[in-house]
Amino acid sequence: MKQRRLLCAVLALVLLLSAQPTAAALTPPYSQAVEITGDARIPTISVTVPTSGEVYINPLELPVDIGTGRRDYGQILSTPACIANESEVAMQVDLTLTASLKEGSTMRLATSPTGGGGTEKQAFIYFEIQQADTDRVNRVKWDSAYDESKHIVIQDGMSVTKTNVMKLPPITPRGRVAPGGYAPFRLTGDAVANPTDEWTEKDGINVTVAFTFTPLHYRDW
Amino acid sequence: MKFMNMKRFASMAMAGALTLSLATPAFAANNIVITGTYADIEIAVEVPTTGTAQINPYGLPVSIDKSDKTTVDLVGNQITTQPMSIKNQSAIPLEVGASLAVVPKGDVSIVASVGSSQKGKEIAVDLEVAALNDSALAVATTDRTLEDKLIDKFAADATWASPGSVSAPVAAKGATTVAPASGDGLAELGAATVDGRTTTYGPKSIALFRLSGDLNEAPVTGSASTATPDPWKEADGFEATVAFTFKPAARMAITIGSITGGTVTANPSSAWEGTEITLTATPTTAGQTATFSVAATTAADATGKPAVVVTDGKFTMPDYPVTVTATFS
Repeated sequence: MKQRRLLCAVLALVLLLSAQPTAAALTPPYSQAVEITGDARIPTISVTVPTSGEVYINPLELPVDIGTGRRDYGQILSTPACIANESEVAMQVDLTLTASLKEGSTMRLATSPTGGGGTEKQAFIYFEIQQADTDRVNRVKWDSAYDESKHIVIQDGMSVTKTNVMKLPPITPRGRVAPGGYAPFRLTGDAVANPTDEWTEKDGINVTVAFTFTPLHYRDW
Repeated sequence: MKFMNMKRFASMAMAGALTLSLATPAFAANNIVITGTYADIEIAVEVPTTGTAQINPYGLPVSIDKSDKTTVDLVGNQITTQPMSIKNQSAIPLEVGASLAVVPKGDVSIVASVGSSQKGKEIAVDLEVAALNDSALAVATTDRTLEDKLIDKFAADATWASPGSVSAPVAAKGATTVAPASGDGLAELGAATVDGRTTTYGPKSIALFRLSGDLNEAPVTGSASTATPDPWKEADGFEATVAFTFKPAARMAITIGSITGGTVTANPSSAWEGTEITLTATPTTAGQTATFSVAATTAADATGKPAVVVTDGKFTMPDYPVTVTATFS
């Protein structure tokens, strides 16, 4: 025991007199402090969202150039629109759709496809969004038909919210292009072609699409 | 810097006394002053003095550059530390202890754990020390490939499967001083081989360490009904001080089991891994010889490890305590 105390005393003395190199002969019990500076890593959050767009009700399927550089013939057409995630992190996308008929419109919004037939002036309009590798809407593979599990039906005077519509990865995480960072979206559907009360320019709808983006932890990408 | 070798000190004292007793008349034995010269065992540990860490709310990959111009990603950790290691360059194994104090910066406070009830900028910080055991790391201290190997180890999840750890003490936002928490026995660093100017690490000579932890990805302020987002800012952070302590690892016991027909001694009677042990048998009946057997004192310690082989009464100490038995015939 006495020897141990002597040892400790000598060691303590040597320790006090010593500089603290990173790798050298040392005296135990040896203590070396490491100062670690922790800073917050704040990822860039940047999402591109169009501020406006147009939707056309085209009951007779006339050729319309909606800005894609080609003629489209659908009964419900909307101008090309796309969101893009330019952040460092992936985003969960939630959205809320709010719709109302234009003032003076006598049309009605159907809750299921019309098939184009019938006599009542109504349109079935739904929202579709796809994940893509590009913002070129011409290249998007839209669904061929309405799918209740994927699409959101536009309803007059109602607000519809859908959470976790998709996980939008960054377009160029860490400087490298990665797939799936774009999400083109559209309004589409069908309309009764020849209603008793004919379609007029007063018919139409206003739709607000509100996107909410929530950054995701890397493990959830 | 020197370390007194107690055993050698004792040997020197005895030799000195013996010499004096031979040279000096018995009556002059009083008031003898024996001056011992201490044999030295050098202990050297390479420890970084500074390091960097990140509060990484979304666990984004952090790329670490290697010397071959490739990179390794550290992925998914909300507290990310650059690769750091402690390397034993001594000829004896060392036990590692450490203390940890974390002083918060910005709006950060340090908590014991981040629970669901905590929504602000609370972070929980742990020091993790992972002892390595890899023959690929048994290279000279000057080996230029070592750091790259350690980066790979650092990035591997398996490295951190069961580290020794110390949790940072709680510290309120704005605290400027924090009393450290400490822990012993976080890891054991195996001995290096010191041969003249060349020092070669053993497979277990190096341990990695890092800060890890937990935090809220999207902190808020206010009560549940009035909560408003309070996103992480660049001013948020911490200053951590890790103080490592090293002491010679405890030698493992060599127990002599129940033996009939004679006695057995082991020299030394306790040892570090890798030490050569010499067994000496003394039979009760003259002319008999002993056959030795060495096994783990606790069987589970040797699970999956090769049996201890005794050759000419010698064996190499494994990394667990052993019991020696012998049969005389």
